[in-house]
Amino acid sequence: MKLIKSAAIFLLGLVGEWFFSRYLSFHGLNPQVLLILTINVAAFNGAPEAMVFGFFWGLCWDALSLKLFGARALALTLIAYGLGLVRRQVDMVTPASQAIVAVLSTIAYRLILGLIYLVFSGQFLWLGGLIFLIEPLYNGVFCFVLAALRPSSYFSSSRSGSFLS
Amino acid sequence: MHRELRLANRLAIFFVGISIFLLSLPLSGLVASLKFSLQYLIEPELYQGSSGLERLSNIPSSLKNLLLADIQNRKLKDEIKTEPVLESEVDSLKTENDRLRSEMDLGKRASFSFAWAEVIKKSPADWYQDFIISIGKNKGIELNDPVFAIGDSSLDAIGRVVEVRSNTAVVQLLTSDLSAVDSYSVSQSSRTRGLFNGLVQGQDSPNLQISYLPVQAPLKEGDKVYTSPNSASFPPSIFIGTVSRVYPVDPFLIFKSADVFPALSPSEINEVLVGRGIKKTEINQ
Repeated sequence: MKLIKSAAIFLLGLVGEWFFSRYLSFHGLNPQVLLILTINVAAFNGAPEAMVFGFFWGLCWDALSLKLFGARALALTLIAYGLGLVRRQVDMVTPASQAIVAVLSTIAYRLILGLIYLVFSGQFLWLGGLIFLIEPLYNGVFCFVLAALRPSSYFSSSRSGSFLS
Repeated sequence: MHRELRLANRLAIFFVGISIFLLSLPLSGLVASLKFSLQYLIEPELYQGSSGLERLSNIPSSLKNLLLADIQNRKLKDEIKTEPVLESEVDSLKTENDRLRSEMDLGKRASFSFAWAEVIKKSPADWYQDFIISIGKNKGIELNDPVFAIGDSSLDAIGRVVEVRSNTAVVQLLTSDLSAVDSYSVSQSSRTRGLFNGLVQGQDSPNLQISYLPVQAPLKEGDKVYTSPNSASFPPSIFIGTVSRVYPVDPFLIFKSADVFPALSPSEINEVLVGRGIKKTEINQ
């Protein structure tokens, strides 16, 4: 049952990312649904589960992107790992704290992705200063709304039993 | 907690390793095809325009051809969407033209319709003279109706109806030595229309000849030749052919002439369009 629920969340995440990037993109700016969901999983289920989700979400999204295959998978895995490490020290459950984590994670995510591109394609992935400044805030607001609507209940019910355990 | 941390560390090493491995690998043709196919299914817009074509250069040729066909299909569908707009523009121009012509007492320009026909008989003995088409009186075809064919996406003049039967008609080709059509030329380099009309005549050979051009007419090889508004059978500005050779001016003649290579040779013509009703109104008036 847990596995089916996880698979459904996984597919929902991909559809959400595709939907927002295609239909709700404003001047190249759209909420990073996969990143926000990875943060959500990391907050409620810990690093291992978030890393699995993040890696496969990233890999699927990389399959649809034009350039490096594996870049988003690596970036989301590292973000999930980092969040998993700090979640015991930082409150990541309330909407406000999740929004702040989303802002910081977006900056880290962009920097990691940029560095991966620098190493593997010789060019730092830079989408422009405006996007770099506004995207974290946009993600923060989106994450706050998502957390306030309590989609975390999907994950919170599994706090006692991760599919990895 | 320690168990979770240990698991996270192991997963981190595993996933980072796989990611770096994937990042370092060049994509094989099959994987690249799969990736591009998925991408195209979800974001076909990425392959539009010049940057899209650049992306296509990395794709295996079999998939590339498939994607190009779909891109062309989308483009044509978009073009079809603009057809009603063009049609209404043409209608409004026609109305304006009719109004201006009536104000200038020029008489109303004839309207006409087209009928498709198949070439059903070509005689090797009269290869450049005529052929028989599959429609006749039954489809409203009349004597002297102009005949066109589609070549390189443009409408080309190829001949006129010289005999009408109940279900068939005989088309005399422009290449026939009995054919002549009033024409004008357009400079290929400057795209400007020449001021001089000439007469294109068939030679019973692959080439046509344009003559009765004034000696000062600036005709060059490669210039395009079109039907003139003065033509008795053809509507104006229909492509006839390209100037292939300009003859030196004979001091004893007061005009110059040139060879014209027709837009379509008889061997390329399998289906034709017959213009019905062209010029009739004007002639009647």
